[in-house]
Amino acid sequence: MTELSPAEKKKERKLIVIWSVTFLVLFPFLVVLGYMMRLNQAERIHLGMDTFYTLLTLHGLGMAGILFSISFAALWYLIATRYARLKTGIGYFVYALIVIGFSLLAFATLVGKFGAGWYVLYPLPFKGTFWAPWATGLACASLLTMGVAWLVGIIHVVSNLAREYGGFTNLLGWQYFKKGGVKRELPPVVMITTISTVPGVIAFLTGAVMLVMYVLQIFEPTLNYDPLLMKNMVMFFGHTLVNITLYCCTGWVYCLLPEFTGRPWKSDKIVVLSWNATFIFILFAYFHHLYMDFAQPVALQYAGQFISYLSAVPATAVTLFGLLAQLYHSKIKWSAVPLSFLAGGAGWAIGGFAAVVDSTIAVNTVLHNTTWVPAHFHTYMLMGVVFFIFGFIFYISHTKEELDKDILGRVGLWIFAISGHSFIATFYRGGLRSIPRRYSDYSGIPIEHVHQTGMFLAFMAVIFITIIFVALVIIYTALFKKFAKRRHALVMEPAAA
Amino acid sequence: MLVIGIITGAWFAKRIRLDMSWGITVFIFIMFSLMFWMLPHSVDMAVINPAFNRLMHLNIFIAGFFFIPGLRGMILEVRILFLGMIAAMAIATGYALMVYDILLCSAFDVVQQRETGVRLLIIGLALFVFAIFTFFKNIGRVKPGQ
Repeated sequence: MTELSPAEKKKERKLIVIWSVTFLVLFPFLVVLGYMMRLNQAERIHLGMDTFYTLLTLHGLGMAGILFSISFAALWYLIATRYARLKTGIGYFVYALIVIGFSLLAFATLVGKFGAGWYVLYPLPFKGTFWAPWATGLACASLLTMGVAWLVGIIHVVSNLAREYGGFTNLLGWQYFKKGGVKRELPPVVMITTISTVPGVIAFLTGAVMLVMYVLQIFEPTLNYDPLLMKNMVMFFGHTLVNITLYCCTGWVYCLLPEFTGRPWKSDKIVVLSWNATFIFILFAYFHHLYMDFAQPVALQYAGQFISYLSAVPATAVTLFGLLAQLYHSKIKWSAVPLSFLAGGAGWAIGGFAAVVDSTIAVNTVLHNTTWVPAHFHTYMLMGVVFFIFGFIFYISHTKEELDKDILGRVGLWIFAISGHSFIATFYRGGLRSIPRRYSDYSGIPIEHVHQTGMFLAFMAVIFITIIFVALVIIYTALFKKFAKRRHALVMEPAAA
Repeated sequence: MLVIGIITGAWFAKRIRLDMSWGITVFIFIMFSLMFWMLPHSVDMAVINPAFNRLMHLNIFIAGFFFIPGLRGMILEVRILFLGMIAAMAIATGYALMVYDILLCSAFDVVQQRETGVRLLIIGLALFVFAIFTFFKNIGRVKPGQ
């Protein structure tokens, strides 16, 4: 692509700084909601069931939405500044819609008390609700707004990459299997962007169908849909969204880590093959969410287990092996960026392993309704995605010299890693001790030791989240010092310069 | 009338140039036209009142007429969004009509309502596939730098 002018670089950099600051503001706010929920489960405060589920809904939907948005925004920045020209105006349009969508969601939950949970499972938004129908409508509108933003952003990025690299098959890396060699190297981040986001187009359109069906039921409450169909739709949409969030982050690890190790990380046949396999697995892995649904065809249940196993191998194994190969004997300086990427990779591996364990049908029948489930997704979201995001934000806010000298950030990240994994361990332990998930508190459980264990683990979680807040304060101090320092020098090249 | 409108619009598509803002305006007009004539009350009125019926035919014809010219001049992002949202609307409404046991339009019976639902669902699914196809077609064969 043609080199960007300083003014264009400045525009792109301003956009990603706005995204980063927005994330840094919203993230602790959503953590506070989780903190309050665990306090309630520890019976240290009394929220009441209505408020608990309202907070649970905003925490879940908000985190899923904001984590995907910042992950995609980071990819946008890397692609716009290195691989293909993108229109900054569309970037701002996407940003504005996400902010509007998030605001509507916050209003629907905090004011309207919408509390159907993060995956708004049918018929929860309509049957026995403690909130007004307008709150359901507003929540649907907020998700549709965010969906529109993501669709526009993804289509813009992928179509411009296709223009730059000569079509979709080239973005998938199929030229690596043609005779005569490769004319133009395909950067892994370009291929991963395509493979992560294109399934998102199909998933978001399916989500739109589901949300319009919800809206119709708001206007005609006597409507009645097939709950199994709705669950398939919501899981296809939700699982894909969360899955591709992680893959988007992987994209920038492929792109940025070589700048610190000094070793190239290129596409080859194995990388292409593994990520192309992932393209298919992303679309069908969601079946493992429906093991408890006896009406789901048995063949799809087995497919769920089979595909979940397969999806863990190619992208995860190849990427993590590549990550280790990058680091091994590389004499890397462990600044905040590579440290975050390694910690994020570890979170991905641990959470992914716990997910594969839970996707085994025989194990799922025991663990499905326990806190093992929040354990595994918190591992790869909090200790995976969030670490990758911190790594990226350190990358754009610091020069390489500053990163090498920075101690505050590294200390913050270490505290974050230790407290974060300790917090998640309370969920894992709860899962193994049959503590149910989605309970606002455990006082109603007639088995006393389950009640006591659940309450104790929730209290332990509260302590660890408190330490997470300390870590966040340290990390934020390191980041905002640099953001404030160069708010007038946005053209500056980040870390690698 | 929609199909007739689309065919007629396709005939004139090369002569009608719509820029971005006009294209989006046309898409909003088409979406609202389709939404309005999906409302049971509007359908009932169209059956009872001949003037309203003519208005429906005219409106749907005009909506169809601008469909192809609107699509042609539009950037890919908006095109997929428009097709996807129309598909979502048609699938959702079609499915709702198909499973709904209560009569929505007093001018028709439940069997006709279900038939309408099935047809709308098929149209919606076809549009959904078309939206995905349009997306892949546009990113499929592109010469570098085109």
